[in-house]
Amino acid sequence: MALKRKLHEWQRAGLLDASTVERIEAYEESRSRPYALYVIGGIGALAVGLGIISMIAANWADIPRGVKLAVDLAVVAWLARYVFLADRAGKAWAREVALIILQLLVLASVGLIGQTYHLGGKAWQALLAWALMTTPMMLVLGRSHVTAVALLTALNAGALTTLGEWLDRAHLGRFTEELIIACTAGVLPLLHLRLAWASRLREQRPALSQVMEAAGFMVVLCASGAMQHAWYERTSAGDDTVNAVRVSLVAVAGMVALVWVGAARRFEDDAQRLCWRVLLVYAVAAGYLPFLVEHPRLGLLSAVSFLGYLAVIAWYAYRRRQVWLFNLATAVMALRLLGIFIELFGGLLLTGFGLVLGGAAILGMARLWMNQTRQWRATMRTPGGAP
Amino acid sequence: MTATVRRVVVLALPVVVLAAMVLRAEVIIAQGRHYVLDIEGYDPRDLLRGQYLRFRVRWSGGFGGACTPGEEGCCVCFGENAEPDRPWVHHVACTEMSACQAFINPESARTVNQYFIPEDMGGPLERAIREKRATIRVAVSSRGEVIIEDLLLDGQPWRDVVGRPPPSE
Repeated sequence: MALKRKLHEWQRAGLLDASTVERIEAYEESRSRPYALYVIGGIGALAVGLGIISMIAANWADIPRGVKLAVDLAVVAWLARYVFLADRAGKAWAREVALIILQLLVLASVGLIGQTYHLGGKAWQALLAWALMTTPMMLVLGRSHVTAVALLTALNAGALTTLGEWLDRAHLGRFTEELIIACTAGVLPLLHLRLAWASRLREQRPALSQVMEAAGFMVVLCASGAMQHAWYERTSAGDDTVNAVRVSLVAVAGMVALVWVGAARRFEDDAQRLCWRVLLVYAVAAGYLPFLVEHPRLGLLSAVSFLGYLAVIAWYAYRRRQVWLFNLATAVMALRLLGIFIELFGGLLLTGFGLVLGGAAILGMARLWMNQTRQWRATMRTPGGAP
Repeated sequence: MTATVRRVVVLALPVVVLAAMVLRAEVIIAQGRHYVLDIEGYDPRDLLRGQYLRFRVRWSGGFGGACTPGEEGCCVCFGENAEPDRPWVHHVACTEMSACQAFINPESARTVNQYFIPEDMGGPLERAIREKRATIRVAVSSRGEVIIEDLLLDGQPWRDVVGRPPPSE
């Protein structure tokens, strides 16, 4: 709508003629993808799926066992057939929505069988069985971002709950358990990133590749930000958790090296590749640093580290022309700045003083941000415009 | 494998696996040995956990055990009794099961502890269990797997004893 308005504005101003406006509109229409429709479809499918799970959880004891299970299997089979026919007919939206409902219905069916026969299984068994049963169909038939999210959710839920159960049973000792958890938490998001860049996946399942990349990237950024708050706590060499995180850095560094190499294929532009690598290494280093050195409680250092980190993210977003990330990083910076003033001062009077100072700093920052981004946005949207 | 065959296979996979899960449970019920076991509330003051009843089986009535229940490699062994569906129970190493009429493997023994109930039956059922003798009827496969067939109160299916609650006003 915004583009259409602009085109007509330019036409009225005599910058474009009517036929050019028409051609641009036709071109943009042919390229447009109904993302909103897919998101709405995904939400609707999720609601239907959760509704089925809820109805099954209510446990209809009055319906005979055979009838309940036969109807359930028949609905699963019918939905599978529907997905097949929708795919063959080229009805992409119907296929994607039905696929998500089918995926959730399979989980509900596992629950129904457990409920009907009173199987005392655990959540991990149900989630693992669900992931194993549905991953092939989601991989082969799913094309949209919504089904990619559903697939990754099932896979990660199945894998992580199984790992948790294995740790629970293996009795490996606290340090080994925490080491495995730290390695998994550190390596898994980076693994998502690396797998997302596999050329075959990028060519054949671009939506899945993009979702994996976005999920891995956001988890790395958020985890690093959260870990930097460890400056708030005193660390000592005798702490199992701290030692586990330290040792896990070896595995994480290995994975960072793999992602570093993989970035060569992901980013063709040297400058973009460089800034991506800088952000990755900075995020990992800043996140792990509070665990590598013994320190007392250092609240101010935590805040400064986090602000520096946000500044690096903002710089990265600017270089990569990601306006939303730039805006998010600067907004969080402003909030964190306010937090520093509240933390530094005690008592009502001083807190009030801190708030006034913090608020003034944010207003100054917002003013600067408005002046700069107006200019930056223009250059960021122009190919080759960013320095 | 052609694209069409691949699509059919991946879509049929959940249907086949779910059907196999149902079939396995039905085979255990149809071909397994049937027993009645006494149960007691896991926490007598609070039997319900959401949509299911939490209990533990009273593995009693038999001669002493050769291993500790719940241990790895410790099976529940059912011996013959005058009442055919109420076995003598003792615990023996899973490698020494030859004298048992049937047995429950350690994994299944650990998981026979919950019974799913309809969402509006929690209160009446909890009261009935406190007042009457609660047992479960189980089917045990030749591989030591268990399916709970029914919850019995004074020997009667719980639905016959508790009935439906009056509609809420």
